[in-house]
Amino acid sequence: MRYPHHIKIYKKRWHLVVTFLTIVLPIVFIFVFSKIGGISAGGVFVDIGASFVRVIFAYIISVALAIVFSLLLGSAKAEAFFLPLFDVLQSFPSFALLPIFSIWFGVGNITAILFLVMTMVWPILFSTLSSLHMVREDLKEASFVFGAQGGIKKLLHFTVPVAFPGIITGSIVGLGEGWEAIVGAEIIGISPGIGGFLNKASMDGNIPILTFGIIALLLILFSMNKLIWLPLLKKSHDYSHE
Amino acid sequence: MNNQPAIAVKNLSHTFVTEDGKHVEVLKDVSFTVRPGEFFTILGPSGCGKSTLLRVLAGMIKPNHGELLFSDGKTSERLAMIFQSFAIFPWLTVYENVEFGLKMQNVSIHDRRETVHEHIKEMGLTGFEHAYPKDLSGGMRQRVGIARALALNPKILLMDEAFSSLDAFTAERLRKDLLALWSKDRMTIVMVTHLVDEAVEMSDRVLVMTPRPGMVEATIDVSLSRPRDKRSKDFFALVDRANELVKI
Ligand SMILES: Nc1ncnc2c1ncn2[C@@H]1O[C@H](COP(=O)(O)OP(=O)(O)OP(=O)(O)O)[C@@H](O)[C@H]1O
Ligand SMILES: [Mg+2]
Repeated sequence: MRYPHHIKIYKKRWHLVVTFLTIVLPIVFIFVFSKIGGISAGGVFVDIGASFVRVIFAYIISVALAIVFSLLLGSAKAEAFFLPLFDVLQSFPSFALLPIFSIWFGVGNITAILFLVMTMVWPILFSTLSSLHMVREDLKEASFVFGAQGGIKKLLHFTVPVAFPGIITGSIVGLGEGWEAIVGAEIIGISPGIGGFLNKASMDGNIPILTFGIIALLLILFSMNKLIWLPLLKKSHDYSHE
Repeated sequence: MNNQPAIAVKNLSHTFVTEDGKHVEVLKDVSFTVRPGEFFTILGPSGCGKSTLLRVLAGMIKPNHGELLFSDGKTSERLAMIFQSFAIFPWLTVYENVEFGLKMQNVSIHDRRETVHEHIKEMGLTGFEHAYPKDLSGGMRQRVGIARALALNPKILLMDEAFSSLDAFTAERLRKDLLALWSKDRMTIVMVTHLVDEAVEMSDRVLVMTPRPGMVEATIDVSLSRPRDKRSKDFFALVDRANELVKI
């Protein structure tokens, strides 16, 4: 299909508008409401920022681990051994680990990130593995015949593109679970963070501030999805076509 | 040209062992040679081991027994393949698909560009360079598959039922295009098909295989002049002969 130029430009403009709105709206929202609610906007940014940084850090570690594991599990034998093990670990509730992590590493960022990795790595790992499993046999053959053989060439030009859709869907699910987990952990005690912010507002019975916190969190998650994950998801549909 | 065959297959046998431990004997004592520049076709009933044989030639399957020799050694430099399901990479554009083999051979970007454009043009894909496979019709996808193979300037071109998943008109058109390219480049072609008509229309020689386990039933010389008239008496006579040899 030939792509007419005006369609391309239109898409680009549209993308700019969306980008602008999704970045600017949450910030404007936080400023306006913190003024109205009589709290410092800076405080909200610190809280949300702290949660955000933890999730992102843990996400990067989780993706790296998931990719390395799924490549190591390339052989049928290794998989027969490790998969049942991972399945048990996956179904183990990560919150149960939080107390012991807190004793070992204190109530702080290390505990939060470890706990998040334990939560996020599984969906990414399993979804990446399933992408690698479902690869079409003919594409495997074609990559071999046309020279994507051995080591780094096969990895870059075959395995990574094949795994890509799984990495993306796994990341979306993993990040969802990660946010859920971090808010929970912060309500229990890790601070600063949006969880603590919400918890304090609730203790104070301050419903407007509570609502404001929830909406701010929603706006940020919405922006991330709109800007990053939806386009990647769309791209990944192309990758796995048929 | 010397008498050395482009491909020599000697006493090839292969048995698959399935996951539940069953042994499936697929190829049994298959021997044949393919001459340089020849259009050689392997014809046989479904499941007789044609694709397996082709995958042995491509180096994807190591056979249990037998020998395989190319004019340039145990494996062939510049070997390419066209697939029934096209097997073009959905994550790459038309241009990137055609470029794939050259890139894997570490040909520089500069040197690839000209070759890729030439083959894109040759296969009538100009204007679709940046399209993804999902946006193409079946016929166009197979054109990309053919361009990807020819971009390597192959000495040996393998085709597994390359026209079987296309509608009759598209298939006929692509067969004609491919024959024109072959008469120009004269690479050695080994084609697998279960269609007697297609085999007689395209090949210099046809190897007929028995039902599984695949053995050589017979080899037919197709000495009709090209381009071939599919309604001539001689054509029908050869088709009849081949039909008698193919046992289901
Ligand atoms: N990896 C494998 N493991 C076990 N059995 C296999 C494997 N590959 C092929 N077979 C079996 O070997 C036999 C020959 O298969 P092959 O694909 O070579 O036949 P074919 O002549 O190409 O058939 P078709 O006309 O259906 O394409 C079939 O019975 C098939 O089920
Ligand atoms: Mg087959």
